[in-house]
Amino acid sequence: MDILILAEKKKNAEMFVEAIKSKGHNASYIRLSKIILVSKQNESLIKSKGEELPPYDAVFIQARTTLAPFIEPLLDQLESEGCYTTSKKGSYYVGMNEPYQFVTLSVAKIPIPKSITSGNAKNIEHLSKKLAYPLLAKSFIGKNVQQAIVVNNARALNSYIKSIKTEIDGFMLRQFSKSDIISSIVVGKKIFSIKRKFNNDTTVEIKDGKIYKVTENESKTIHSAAQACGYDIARIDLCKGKIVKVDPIIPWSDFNQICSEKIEDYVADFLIEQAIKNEGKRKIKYDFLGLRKIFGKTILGWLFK
Amino acid sequence: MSPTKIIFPEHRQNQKENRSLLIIGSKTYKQSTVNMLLEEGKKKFSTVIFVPIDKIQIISVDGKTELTYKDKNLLEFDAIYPRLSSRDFLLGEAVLKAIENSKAYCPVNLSAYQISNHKFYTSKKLSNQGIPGITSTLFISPKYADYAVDETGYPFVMKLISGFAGKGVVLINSKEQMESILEAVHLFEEFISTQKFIKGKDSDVRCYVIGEYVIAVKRKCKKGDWRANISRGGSASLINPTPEMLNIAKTSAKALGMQLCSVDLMEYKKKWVVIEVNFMPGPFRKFLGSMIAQQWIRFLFEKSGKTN
Repeated sequence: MDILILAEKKKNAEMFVEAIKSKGHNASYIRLSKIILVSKQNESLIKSKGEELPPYDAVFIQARTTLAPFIEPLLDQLESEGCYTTSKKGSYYVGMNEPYQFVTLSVAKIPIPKSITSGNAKNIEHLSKKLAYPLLAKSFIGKNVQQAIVVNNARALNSYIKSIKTEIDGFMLRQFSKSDIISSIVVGKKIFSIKRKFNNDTTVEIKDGKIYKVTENESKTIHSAAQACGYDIARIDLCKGKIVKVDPIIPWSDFNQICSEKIEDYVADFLIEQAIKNEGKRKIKYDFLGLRKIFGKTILGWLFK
Repeated sequence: MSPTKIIFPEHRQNQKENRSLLIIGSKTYKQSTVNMLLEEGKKKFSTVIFVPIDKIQIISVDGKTELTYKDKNLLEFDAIYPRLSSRDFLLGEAVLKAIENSKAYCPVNLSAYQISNHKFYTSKKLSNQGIPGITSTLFISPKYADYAVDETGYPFVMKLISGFAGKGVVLINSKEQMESILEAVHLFEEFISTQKFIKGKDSDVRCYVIGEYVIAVKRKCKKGDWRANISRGGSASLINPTPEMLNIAKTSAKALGMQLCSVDLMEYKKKWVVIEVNFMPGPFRKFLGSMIAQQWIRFLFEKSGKTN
């Protein structure tokens, strides 16, 4: 199998490349910034440093959701070429925009904390009456969070509103639960979880959390959330059984350390399994009599690129 | 080509049934367009309201999402026409997702909003469907811009993907010019899309797609402006669309998932190519009066009577 890891930095890709190679398959890494997407009269191409990307059976993308405007057409192209990708088309748009992510989860009937989003700051106080304190209040400029603050009462919310000096594009009020957070990594059907204690008004970092075994219900919610947002591999945060975060970026080393696992091995197994399942779906361009596919991996392979 | 009479399905009179229309406007909506839509809408629908997107509340609770305005549930309207721009993304995606999950008829979908507000993605999507376009590229790092230029050559048009109405567009003639612009663009963490520059005539054609119907308008650019963009001056006149124009416009709208939109075409090497697809086209009031708005309303009324 030929598997590609596309990442922003080499250090985020190396362990997967090694894990896949150790299982006897081909794996390579390409820095995302080297990729150029090309759309011509009747075809679209993915190029790296001027060369068309060879066909891969599976592609694993490790990139921040802020890169969605680049990743989305890339995912669309990979999908149209019949390539398996861990993040589905549309998933980066979902990940980049928090209000959109919450509506996506809500319409998929996945439990989320009660939330209200609006574009007009004048409404905040009025809207807050529909929720119970404490609340997590977030203001946005574009799709980026400008400020996030937990407010315990109407007075605190009021002073937060007054502190917003810049013009915002929207705000979100979400019911906040002063409870522990379960941070999990989903790799296909497998889940690795860490419990993060809520102490003195803050939740401890992942690196200070403890290994946790999710319940059957939690497992179901986590899988459904990943699927609704379009990820086969993702980080999912749960608070009191409700989803509070879905993100394709994962702190691998913290999870490996706390769970005493080499999660990259599970990722490698999963990618190989998906690549095998997907083998017949891969579309090879200009494959006259199937010669490119037959000779592609031989010493004559370069002739057919 | 001479202007011809455009025949649309007849407006059935006295059929103001109990149907409701919601128009969701961009934060930067144009009052004259809204007034025209409301005026035309009231002739057909029993209820028509306009709500700017930033006044909508999105409430999600227990697996249920509501869009409300002054405590009114907006998802109960028979037809919803969202007219949103790239500046409305934060709420726009969430609102369109909620509409998709409702029973209201909507002539555009979420994916169409995301793609049509991304110039490269639009071009790529259409090219995959065999719709003629212009060679374009998309990249992140200015370091590898030379490879993008290898595809388009000089001169090329550089677009910031969030740019709209031609304001985020620069014509680049040389490597030196490109380098100085890329440096500035990188500072703002923009994504860069380039497009081969095609020197068309002094005009382009805007095709308004209204379901299966197309109204074509020839637009002449302002003297000295290489962008044939009416919002920056110039003139416009109705033309009879050729079968090629009709086919390209309808196929493009369908490929992106829109029943109301406009497709801008330009002649290149004796063929029509797609320059842009607009999710929220203006009605060209100055040149066409209320003609486009009337047809939009007619279409929304007809569709609102059927299930989505």
